[in-house]
Amino acid sequence: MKAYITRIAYYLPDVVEENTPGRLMKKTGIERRHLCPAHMTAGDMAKEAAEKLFDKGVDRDSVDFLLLCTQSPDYPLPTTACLLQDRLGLRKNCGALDFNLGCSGFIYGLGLAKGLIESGQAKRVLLLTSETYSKYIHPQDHATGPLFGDAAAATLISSVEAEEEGLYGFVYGTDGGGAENLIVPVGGMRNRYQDTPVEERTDDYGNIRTNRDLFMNGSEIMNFALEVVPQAIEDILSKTSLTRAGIDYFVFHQANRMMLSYLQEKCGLLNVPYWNDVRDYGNTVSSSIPVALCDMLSRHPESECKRVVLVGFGVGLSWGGCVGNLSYVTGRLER
Amino acid sequence: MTEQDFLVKMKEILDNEDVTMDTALADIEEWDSVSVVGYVAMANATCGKRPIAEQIRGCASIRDLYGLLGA
Repeated sequence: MKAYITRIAYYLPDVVEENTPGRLMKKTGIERRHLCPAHMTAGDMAKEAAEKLFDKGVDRDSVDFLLLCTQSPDYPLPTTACLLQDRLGLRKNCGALDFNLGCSGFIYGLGLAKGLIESGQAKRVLLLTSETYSKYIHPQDHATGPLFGDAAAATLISSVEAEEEGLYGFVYGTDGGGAENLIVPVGGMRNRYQDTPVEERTDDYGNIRTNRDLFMNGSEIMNFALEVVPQAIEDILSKTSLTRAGIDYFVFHQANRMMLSYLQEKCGLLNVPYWNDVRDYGNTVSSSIPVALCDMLSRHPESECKRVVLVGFGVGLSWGGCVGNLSYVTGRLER
Repeated sequence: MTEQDFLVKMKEILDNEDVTMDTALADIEEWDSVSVVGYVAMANATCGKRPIAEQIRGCASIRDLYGLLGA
C-alpha cells in the first residue's frame, strides 16, 4: 500500500483586499489577498476547506486521521484538530493533532501522512492547512501586509494499492538560528502578553509594528530561500535518480513573484514547467502549495502530473521537499 | 559581472532608467525596502554573494552596491 494525494480543495475567505498598484505590486505579483474576517479563525477556515471535500463526495467516516498545520490555533489548548474532529463529525476512533509550521508545513504534513499510512497506522489522512497571518500583521506595516493572504486547504492522502510510490524523495531541513527573521515575538510562553510591555517601532521606510506583530526580515528570508531551495532540489533529484527534464512540474511555496523568479533562475529551472502565481492570493503560508496544486490540476490533465516536485520553505527557519504523483487526484477541477 | 550588466539589473530593480553608477542612493526615490530585497536576491542568484544589512546601509551610491559583490 502506498500513500497518494487523492483529493485537494481550498477555501478563501470572502473579504478581499486589493493591493495598491505600484512597484510593490509589480515586483511581488500580488494584486489582491483574501483576509479572514474578525469573527472567523483559522480553525473555521479549515472546516470550510474540509467541507468542500465532503460536499464533493469524500466520505467523512472514512477519515481515520486528521492533521492540522497552523500557527494560528483557536486556543493555546485544547488542540484545534480535536475541535475540528467534533465540528466535522469525524468518527471518534480518528487520530487528530496540530502541528506548528508555516510555509514548509504542507511538505511536513505529507511526510507525516505517508508515515502514518505506509506504517499501517492510518488509511485516509485529512491534512488541513490553515493560516491567518493577516491577524498578526500591524495595519500600518505596508511592507508586510500586502504580501500575505489568508486561506485554508484540505488534502486527502489515501492508502492506494499501487507498486509505484505516490509521495517520495522527501528532504527536510531546519535552521533555528534564523528564527528571528520571521517571528511574532510576544504572545507565546516566552514573552507572555501579561508580562511584556508593548514596544512600537517605525522602520527606516515608515512601517510601524509592535512586538506583538509579525516581523519579517525580507532580505534574510530571500537569502535563506536562495541558499536552501537549490540544494533541496539537488538532494531530491539525487535521492530519486530523477532529472529536471523528467519532472512534470515544479511547484514551490508561492511566496511572491520576485522570490519565485530568482529561485527559478538559481535552481536551473528556466526551461521547465514551473508554477509562479500569487496574483489573487498573496502568500498563503502552509496553504500556498495545495492552492497552487489545485489551480495547476485544473489546467493540466492528471496524466501530465505524475512527477511533481514540491518544495516549501520559510518560517522556522524550516524547509522540506518531495516528489508527488498526482495522477490519482480525482475531482481535480473542484476548488 | 561587469559594471554595465550590474547597472542594467539595478535599473530593472529600481524601475528607473536614469540612474548611473555614481547616482547617490539617497537621491533615488525607488531605493526602498523592495529594491533592497531585489538587490540582495540579484547578488545571491547571479554572484552567490550575501551582502549584509549593515554593509548595504553603508553604501552611498550604485557603485558602492556593485563593490559589495566583489566584482
